[in-house]
Parts: sequence; structure tokens; C-alpha cells
Amino acid sequence: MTGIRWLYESDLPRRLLLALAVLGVVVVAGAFLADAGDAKPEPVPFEQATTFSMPNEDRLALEERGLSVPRVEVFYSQYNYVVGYEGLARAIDTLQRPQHDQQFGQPLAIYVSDYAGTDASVTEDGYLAVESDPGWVSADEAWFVYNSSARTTVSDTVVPFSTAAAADSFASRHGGEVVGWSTVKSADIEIADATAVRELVPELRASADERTAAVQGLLDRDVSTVVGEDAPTVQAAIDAAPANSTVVVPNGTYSEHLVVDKPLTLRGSATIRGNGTGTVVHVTSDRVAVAGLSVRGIGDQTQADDASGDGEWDDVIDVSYGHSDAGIRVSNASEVYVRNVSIDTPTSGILLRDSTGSVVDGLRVNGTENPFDGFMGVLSIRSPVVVQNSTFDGGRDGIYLHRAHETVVRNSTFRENRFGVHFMYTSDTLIADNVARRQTAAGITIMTSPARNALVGNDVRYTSDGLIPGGARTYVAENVLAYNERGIMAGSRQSLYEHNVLYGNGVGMRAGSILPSNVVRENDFVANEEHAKAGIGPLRIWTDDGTGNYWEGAYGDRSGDSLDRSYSPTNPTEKELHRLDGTVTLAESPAARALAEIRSTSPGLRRGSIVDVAPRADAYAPETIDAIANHEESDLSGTLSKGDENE
Amino acid sequence: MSTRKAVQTLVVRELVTLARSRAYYGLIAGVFLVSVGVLFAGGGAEAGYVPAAVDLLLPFELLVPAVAVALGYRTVTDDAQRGELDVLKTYPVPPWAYVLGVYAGRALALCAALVGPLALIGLYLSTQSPPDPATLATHQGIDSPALFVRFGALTLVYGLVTLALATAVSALAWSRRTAIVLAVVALTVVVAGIDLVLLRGFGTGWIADQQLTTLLAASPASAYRGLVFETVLYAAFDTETGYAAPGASAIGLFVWFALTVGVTVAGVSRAN
Repeated sequence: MTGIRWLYESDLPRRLLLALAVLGVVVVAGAFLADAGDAKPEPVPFEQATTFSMPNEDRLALEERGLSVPRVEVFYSQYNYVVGYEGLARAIDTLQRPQHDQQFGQPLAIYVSDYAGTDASVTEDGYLAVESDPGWVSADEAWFVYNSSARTTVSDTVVPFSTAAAADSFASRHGGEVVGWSTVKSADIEIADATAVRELVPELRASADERTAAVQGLLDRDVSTVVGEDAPTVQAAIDAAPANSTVVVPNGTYSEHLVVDKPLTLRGSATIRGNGTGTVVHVTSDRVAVAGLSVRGIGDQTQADDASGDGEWDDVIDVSYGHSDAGIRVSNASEVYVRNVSIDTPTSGILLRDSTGSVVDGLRVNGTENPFDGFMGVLSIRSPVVVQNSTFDGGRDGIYLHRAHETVVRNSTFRENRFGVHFMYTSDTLIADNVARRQTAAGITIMTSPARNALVGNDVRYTSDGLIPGGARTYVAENVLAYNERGIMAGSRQSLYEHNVLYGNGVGMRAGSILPSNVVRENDFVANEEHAKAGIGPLRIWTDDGTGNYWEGAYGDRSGDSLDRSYSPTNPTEKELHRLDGTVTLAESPAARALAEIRSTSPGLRRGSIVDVAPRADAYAPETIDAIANHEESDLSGTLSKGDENE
Repeated sequence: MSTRKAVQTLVVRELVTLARSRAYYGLIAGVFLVSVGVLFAGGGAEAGYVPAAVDLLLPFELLVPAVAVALGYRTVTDDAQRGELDVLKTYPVPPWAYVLGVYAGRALALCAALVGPLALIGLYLSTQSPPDPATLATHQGIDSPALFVRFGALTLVYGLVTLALATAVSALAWSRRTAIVLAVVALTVVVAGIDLVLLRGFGTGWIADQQLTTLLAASPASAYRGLVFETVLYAAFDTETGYAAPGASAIGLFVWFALTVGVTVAGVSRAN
């Protein structure tokens, strides 16, 4: 006791205590008085924002013409990334969504493009032309011209100005009324979301039916010329035949390169064999049909030495991709019908350049064994095409689409390619009811941020990635993704994923985009090593208006169609629920339950997590799941009856 | 001995007693481990000050009263049992000075047990930065160390109020066994009991809607929670309504503090 006796006597403890108390009070008072980071952040360069952007194609085309689209930057209280929007309509639509604040917190600051001093005018087709790039103005200090003649690529637009005078001047020249932010932000904005793309699917199917019907009659043309009887060679027969007739090519192998420059039907089960250089059949006329033939002896060049662009933004792609040697090349010719043709190729099968209304039906392409030795089965450059009932073995990509809007690919089979179907700058396209197996990269991939594509009813197995749906407002539904390393790599925005079955994948679905804006509902996650994963970015809530997904392993009491206990496929314990004994007991601990509650609060700052707050009690597609589980072996070959309809 | 000297002696005695007790260090370690565990399991550790506060609020509502009770439930009982109260009677130390001394001592110990772990966590959080993929702009949102300090201060206040309650229990208990029983009862009442009554009352309608925020202030746990929401977590949640009446909540906590200290003084006076 003697060692510390002084403590009892001295004044030191009291003084020390007093000092500490004063310090504590000062610090605490400071903390309560201090600004808690509510200060308004400054706008950042738009390229650094995480954006809800327009398709790359549209942006590149507008940039080429020096046109401008009003932009918005939003800083949220509970989201570390700056969110950028192209076009005010998209921003307003997003800000008005009820669950928006829950996920991101309140907007701390909103900046809009300032068109004051840019000499903004509206072009004849409704776009904004500027003399100088707009700066930023805080939305609540801006004046907006509403209902003018200006538009973006998707909707009418609202044009913001930092001064009332500039807004008035613009409105007097281009119409519209000048309003404040409070009016604009509550405006009734109609923007189609991914559910509109769901409505688009039957339309695209019907359109494909119509396009097929429009060319089917080409097979009924009268026979005018028979090769070997009326002409010595196939080319001679083509040259001799009158337009709108049929040239019959009897059995046998014809060593020729053909140019079809008038509307003819070329029919027969013969083989056309090129000399191993260049393209074998070149179609340069509308309404040409090629039926039943086999094409061999195609060149091995994927680029042409003499190819050059015509000054458009996509010249690089056109030059490097659009001039491959091919079995059949269609140049500037529409309503070309390729039916039951078989092509063995070291490069491409069919190359379509600037063709509309063409239909490829019952095509068989045998590409290279190693995907990177070959090229594309069907290569479409700016050519909306219908490809159906076809088979693509090997080669780089089964189908490569460049600016081929409104393409429909259906009932086809893709095996051992790099990508089954590869989208570049292609929107409004439907890929339906196809089978893809053992792609080294992905069954179907959508790149370059296009919009309104639909991937429906496809069955993809044994690939690296089943589907990589990029872009905006992509509709991904009723697909089966089984035994892939990753079933779906969801890098898309504002997209709808529903009724997909993700079975036996390494990772069922991976949330790829930093900005959570996809709706994921009524999908079945079964037998995956990990049902779902998320990259950086805040918590994703995979429940849509009370409708969640079926997760094998999720449990709880049933209430209606769903379980009363939320499920997180990224939670270390819950993600093992379908694989490990004992995880239910662990997940039921008060600690785990409390953490589950905590997790769904302040989601904007929770990283890399996914939660379904209303998991489904039953699978949405139990028959499909049973079929996958029971027929694993027979599907290993990828030879389903689907799509194999060749003669 | 002057009263001031007596108070100082008591404070130092309490501190020395605790400083020599391994259980006290265990308590600090426990608070630290639980806090860190919750932060890392909940994900708040890498997310920022406000998410960390969100993660800690629920466990602290339980943990802080538990720590306070552990520190305080035998304060007076032990002195009475060991006969030290009788010894103190021979000195001219008034009951209030005795209560002030032992309470201040224990309160300092509680400060160390709560502020220590929170300060370490705050230091750790200050080393975390938002994910920064080179090409993307990030900003802080509403998040600031000041918010975490506010959380720590409110937690401390909540701890001091519950410690006063625990000390009162120790003054009322006549044996160590009754001290344990009374402490558990007090803990249950603070942590759940009053809130359950409020829940039931609100559910059946005998609490009028407008009275809710005022009555919430009557429960120390709810007053603490309300103040944390109002001054720290407002940034994380977006609601259309207020969280609490801050004034009423502060008064509520003070009234609990004053009442329980009064009870302690009364209990000690009666023993004298």
C-alpha cells in the first residue's frame, strides 16, 4: 500500500482528472458542433463518374458530329462513387424511384450541364449543338428549358442553364418553357425500362417470322438453268440465267468462286469448292437465295489488305473485322436467304455487310478446332439478320454482330467457340432458345454498352461464363446456365433478370457493375458452389417489390410465396447453407441474426454484398431443375435436338 | 479529513482496486473483442465511421449496461459486507460524498473500458479509405470522425447512467446474492423491459402517437438509441419522420441518473 500512498495524498490525480474532463468536454462539444461532412462536394470530370450512360454507338456518333447531351452528376450521402447520367430524363427517372434513397442515401449535391454561354442550338434532327463544352451548375440554382425541340437519343430532353436570361433566350428560339429544379425533378418522365424490352420480345419474334416469310418464296422460283446441262460452270449458269429464276446445281463438287449479281436462287446439294483464297460465294444483289449447297476451300485471311473506312467512327472495327474471307459474302444486298447451307471454314462462314432483311436458316458452320485460329460463323456488319436453326462448331465467335440492330438469333446451337454470340454496338436484338456448349470465353456476351437487348430461353453449359450481359436495359430471362465457371456475369445496368435457372455453376451469378440498378427476381439458384458474388460497390438488393429469388439452402417460415428470413449469398455462413451441415445452427445464432439485421441498413456503404429480403420458398422452374439434375450426362456432348434440323 | 480529501481517497481506492483486478482487464478486452468482431463480421470496419456506428449501436445497447452493471453492482454492497461502511461512519464523511467518491471511481473505470476500445477502433477507421479504382471519382458522402466521436460520447453517457443504476442496486442489496439478482433485474429492465412496455403500449394504442418520442425518452436504451439516430446515423437513414426528441431524451437520461444517484445516497444513509 505504501507504494501508492502518495496517490491518496497528492493533488495530481485530481488535476489530471480535471484536465482530462476538460479535454473530453472540448472534444465532444467540438464533435457535436463540427460539420459532419455535409459540405457540398465539387463536380468531377464526367469520365470519372460511375455512369448511367447512353450506348457507346450513340455517343460516338454524336461526338463525331460535335453534338451534346445534357449531363447530370449526383453525389449521394451514402455512396462513395459519383453517379453520372447522360440526359436529364434518365437522372430524374432514377431520382424519383422509391427505393433509390434507401440504397444511396439522399443526394448531397446535384450538378447539371450549364449551357449558358455555349451558343446552344437545336439541330434539325433535334440534337443540341454547342460552340463550347458546357460547364456545371448546381441543379437547384439552374434554369431549365422544358418541352423544347431538343432531344437525346432516347427521349425529349430538358436543357439546363445557369442564368434565366440564357434559358429565356434558348426557349424563345427553340420553344419550351423555363422552369426551376423543383418542377423538373417532379416532372412526369416516361422512360422505358427493361420491362419494356420484355414486351419487345414477342415483337422481335414476330418480326423474325415476317422476315423469314418474306424470303421463303425465293425457293419457289422457276428453274431456268441447270449447271452441266444449260451451262458448263455454276458461274456461267448464273450469268446466263434470267433474273428471279432458279439455277439448279446437281450433285458434285464445283471448283469455282462465284459472284451472284442478280436476284437468283442457287439450289442443289452440290459442293462449291474455292481454291483456298478469298471468299467463295459473293452476293451483291438483293433477293438472292442459296439453298442446300456446301461451301469449301475458303481463304485464311481475316483482314483485307485494301480495306479502308469511309470516315466513320467505327472504321477501325470495320477494317479489322468486316473484310474476312468467308464462305458466302453479302455486300450491300438485302433480303438474301441462305438456307440449309454447310460451310467448312478456316475463317468466316457468312459475312454480311450492310444487308437488311436477310435470313440464315439451317446453316452449319464447321470452324477451326482452336477458336483463335478461326473467325466468325456469321459476321454481321451493320446487317440486321435472322439466324435460326443453325449450328456453329468451333471458330472464334459463332455470331459476331456489329451495329446489327434488330437481329434475331434463335433455335441455334453453338459448340466450342470463343463466344457463341458476340454483341458489339448492337441494340434491340433478341437471342432466344439457343444452345451453347463449352465456349472458352462465354456463351453470349454483350459489349460496348448497347441498349434493349433480350437474351431469352437460351441453354448455356460448360463455358467459362454463360452469359455476359452488358449494356443498359437488357432483358435476361428463362435461360438455363448450368455447369459454367460463372453462370451470369451481370455487368449490365437497369436490366431485368428473371426466371433464369442457375445450376451447378462455380458462381451462379456475379454482380459486375459498381452501380446497382439491375432487377433480379424469380431466378432459381441451385447446386452452385457459390450462388452469387458481388464485386466492389454497395449492397445489391435482389428483391423486386417483395419478389425475390429461389436460393437452394435459404430457409425460414413461409409467408405467401416467400420466406420470412432474408438470405445473403455473399454472407460467409449463409452462402454455405446448401452445402454444409451445421450452417443453419450457426446462422440462427443471435449474433448472426443481429448482423443480418445490421447488414441491410445503410446499404450504400456496404461493400460487395448481395441480399434477398424475400427469398422464394419454392423454385420457379422445378421441372427445368429436375431435367438438368437428371440428364447431366446426356448433355455433356451439347448435342440436343434443338437446332439440329439440317437435311 | 476534509470531504474533498475523502472523495479523492475513495476515487483512488476504487481505481486501485480495479487496477489490481484481472477481471477488469478481461472486461476491457471483452468490450474490444465484441466491438471488433461485430465491425468485421458486419462489414462496417471497412466502410466508414457511420457504418461502424450502425454496426455497433445494437450490440452496445446490450453491452454497455452489462459492463456498467458488472462494474457497479457490488460497489456499496461489498463495502457494507466487509464492514468498511461501518469504518467510514467513524469519519466525518457524509453519505453523498461517499457515493460521489465510489461512483466517480467506477465511472472512470467505465470510461476507460468504453473509450479505450472505441478510440482504437476510431484510429483503425481513420486508416481506411474508400475503394479507389484509379479511373473512378469517389467522395466521402456524409461521413466524418466527428460523427464517431459523437457516437462515443453518447455511448459513454449511456454507460454512466446505467452505472448509476447499478450503483443504486448495490446500495439497495443487502447481500452479494441479492446484489446479483437485483443487478440482473435492473439490466433486463433497462435493456428490454421498458421498451417492451412502450411497444405494448404503442401497439394497443394507450400511448398517443404524439407522445411516442417523449415516452421513448423514459427508457435509457431508447433515449440513447434516439440520440444516436438523431446526431450520428441521420446520415445513413432516409426517413420522413424524426427519430427522437433530443431534448426529452437528454432530460430522460439525466433524470435516470439523478434518481438512481439519489436512491444510492438514500440507501447509504439508511445503512448509516
